[in-house]
Amino acid sequence: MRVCKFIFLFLLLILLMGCWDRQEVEERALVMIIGLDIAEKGMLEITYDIANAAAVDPGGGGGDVGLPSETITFLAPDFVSARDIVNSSVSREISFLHLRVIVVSEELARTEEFIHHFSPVLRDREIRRNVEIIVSQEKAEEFIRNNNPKLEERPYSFFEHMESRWRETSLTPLSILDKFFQRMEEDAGVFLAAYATAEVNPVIEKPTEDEYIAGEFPKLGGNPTQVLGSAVFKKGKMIGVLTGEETRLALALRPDVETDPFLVTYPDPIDEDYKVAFRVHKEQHNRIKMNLKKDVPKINVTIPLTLELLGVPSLINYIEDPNNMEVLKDSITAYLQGKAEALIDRTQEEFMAEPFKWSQVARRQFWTLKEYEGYHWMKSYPKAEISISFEIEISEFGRQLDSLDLQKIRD
Amino acid sequence: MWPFFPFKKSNNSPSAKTVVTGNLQKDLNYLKKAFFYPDNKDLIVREIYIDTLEKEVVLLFMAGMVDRKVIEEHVIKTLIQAKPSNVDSKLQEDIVKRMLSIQNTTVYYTLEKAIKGVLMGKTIMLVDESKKIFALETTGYEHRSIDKPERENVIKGPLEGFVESSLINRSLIRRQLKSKNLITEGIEIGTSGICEVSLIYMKNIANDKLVERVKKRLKQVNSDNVQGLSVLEQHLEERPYSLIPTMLYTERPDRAVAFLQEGHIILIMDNSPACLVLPVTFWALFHTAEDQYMRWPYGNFTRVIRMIALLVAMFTPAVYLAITNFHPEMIPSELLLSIMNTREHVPFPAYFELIMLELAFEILREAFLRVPSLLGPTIGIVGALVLGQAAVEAGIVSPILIIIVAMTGLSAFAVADISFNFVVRIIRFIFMISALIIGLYGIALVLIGLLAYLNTLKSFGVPFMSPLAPSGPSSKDTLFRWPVWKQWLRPFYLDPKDSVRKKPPKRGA
Repeated sequence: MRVCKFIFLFLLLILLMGCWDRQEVEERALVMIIGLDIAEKGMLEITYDIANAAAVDPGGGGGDVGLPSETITFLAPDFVSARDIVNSSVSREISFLHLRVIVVSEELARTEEFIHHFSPVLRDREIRRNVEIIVSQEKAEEFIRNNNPKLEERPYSFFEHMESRWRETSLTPLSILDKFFQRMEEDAGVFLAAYATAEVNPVIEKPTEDEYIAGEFPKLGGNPTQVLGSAVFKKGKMIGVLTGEETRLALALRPDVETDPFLVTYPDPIDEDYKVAFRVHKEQHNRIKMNLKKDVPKINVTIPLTLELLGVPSLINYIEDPNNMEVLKDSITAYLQGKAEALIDRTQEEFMAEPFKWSQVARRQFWTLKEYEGYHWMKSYPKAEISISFEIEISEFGRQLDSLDLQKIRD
Repeated sequence: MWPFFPFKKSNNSPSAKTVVTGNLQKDLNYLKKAFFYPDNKDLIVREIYIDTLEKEVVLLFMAGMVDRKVIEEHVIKTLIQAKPSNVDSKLQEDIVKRMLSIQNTTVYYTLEKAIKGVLMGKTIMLVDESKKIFALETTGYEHRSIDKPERENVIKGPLEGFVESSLINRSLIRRQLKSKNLITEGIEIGTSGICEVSLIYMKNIANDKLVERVKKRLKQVNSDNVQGLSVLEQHLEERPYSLIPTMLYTERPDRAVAFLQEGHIILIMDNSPACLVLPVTFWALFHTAEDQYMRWPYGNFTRVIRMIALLVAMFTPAVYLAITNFHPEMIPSELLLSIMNTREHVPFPAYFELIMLELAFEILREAFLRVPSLLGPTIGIVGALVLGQAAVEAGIVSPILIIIVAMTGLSAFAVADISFNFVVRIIRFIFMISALIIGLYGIALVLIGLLAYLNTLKSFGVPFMSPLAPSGPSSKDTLFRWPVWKQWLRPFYLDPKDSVRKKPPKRGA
């Protein structure tokens, strides 16, 4: 009797608790990339990029294995529930379990409608919070179709690798769903999303190599896709674009260390024709002091940076000559200061909000959350008086201290 | 205690019928009849007339059960050649005391005992006009010489294994554990009383109650002939329907000695090239002898590897099923796509494919045990290589499944104990079915049930998972072990008389 009871209870555990959603793997169609474009009122033009399993050939048998993915575009009011209607032409169950990237066209992102169309991703069980958001200059559909990576077998793995580069280059921000909604719900700053295009329209005259946005970087060959700079979202709506350099600065101005050392060139203070190449290490947290008591809030930010000197094409001896070193240091400090102040002016005037996560520091100035919410950081930020100071230290000089003595060689 | 074997009191009082009468012919006829003498060729009856005593003596023994040399030289020869000066009186004891150069003799008063004696390999001596029967210890039969253990091999450590002779097995233990406290008790089991089990324990360590409990259990065995330890194990079990073994069947004397020194009890029987250790815990089944022989880091390394193998053997097929069928988000996209690609050509659902392949592996394993050893390698190549390769090429199974099944099959062999090996292989199927029904949730459910069951299980009163649960003072020789000099405590769960193995080590000494 006891055994019967036990078996009965055990069966209940199984019968009542199962999800009963068993599905063989080959019955699923894995959507890897979703593209969203604006269409007529209330509708979206949706693009699904579905990975083709047959394109993976572990045996290396050769033969015609087909395209790595199938891209379909259709009109639907909502991209999550569109799964069923897509099944009219795709024979397998559409699954978002391995969704990697959501591409949003700039046109759609700049509308008020965008956030209404986008919020279903929060509810869907299959979409992960680490899905990447990319804003494309052109239509998302075109972007997905034109993206043609040469080194990766599949389009989604291109974005997967791209995503892991953001920390090393910091030319694009970490742009995932989780952070998007986090920033939006905080209602204190703007969110930076990766900005990309597959249409190249190079602009040659840029003073340094990182001042481009996607599509402007002149290059020949390879995948036309460029992911560079960031799209600025405020309250779920895109309001502007930051260049690669501005994105780097914005990340560097954040209180914590968010990025790995990145490579950069700064103007040579003595020989104007050349640049000096550095690897910039941000190893310490920024020191941020705030005074929010007065009408005009005062913010004082000190950014400690350690530079590693990599190349001096002008061959000026900055390393062994302390005077030259001082000149170089001062010039970089002034240069960064100017850039940072320009960026802050832009955020205060154009965006009226900050991408620097300073709200985290501002929150600490209040005793209760209620007080902080009453203060309205977003509204106070544009009128704040901000002073930035860089603490530059040039500590490493590569493998060799002195430069080439060209004079001697040419003789 | 489980009341499966009602205790039956054996009848020890001599009945009138079987008492030795003193009439040689009458007694002899009774014994001959008992053994169906003229028909049964194995019974040897040798009549001797001893001149000095002027008495007739009859020797009875079983051919093949006795040492012929001893009988010929030390019994028959001495009896026939006995000189008159050797015997003063005509007392029968003098025959034994003065004439026979045999190491051990016993005196019987009933013919029933004499029959048992003959069956055990003793030589029965009937003396005319005597109401005593002398049993001469002449047992000696053929057995295998001491050999390497077959299943429990080690690279470092003794290479002797038990053989089929109880006497030799006992000597193997006693040689490794020279102690006056090492006790061997002979206990007759079964209704016919001809099966003797040697109960071995350390008098100064083993808990008396435990010894009593085991003895009581042994006496409850209600079978006329227990063929060996492997059968005895099934008689002794307190939970006969359980999947988990509660006794350890080991063929290594050194392991037996290690267990004796912790306070365990060892059972040895004739015809079994092994001993039974009881009570045991999960860890006794999990460990091997080599864990202690290897230096501390190596021993621990092998234990970790074995634990991983144990988990792999139990879970891999189930986890594969659960992940591919219920949770494909858990594996990297590339892997999922290549699984999808290989599954594309397979006509069966994954669970059918998996269970089919697992069964095929079990069939191969079972068949290999019975394959004549000469054919072994050939059949191995056909069975494993050709079959596997052909199955993949024919598109019946996907290559990833071959990897999974081969991996689990091999991992199961890392589990040394034969009973435990079966447990792992059977539980694997249970996990697979639960994973098939409700995915990882099912695996978790069965695992929780299994752990709960393991914790309720007891082996002769000792909790199966101790000293982990319940926890208590011990040398912490479980998944990991400390260096040997730190293992100075005996495990608490055996409640040993002396709980300390040696003085605790001094720090920095």
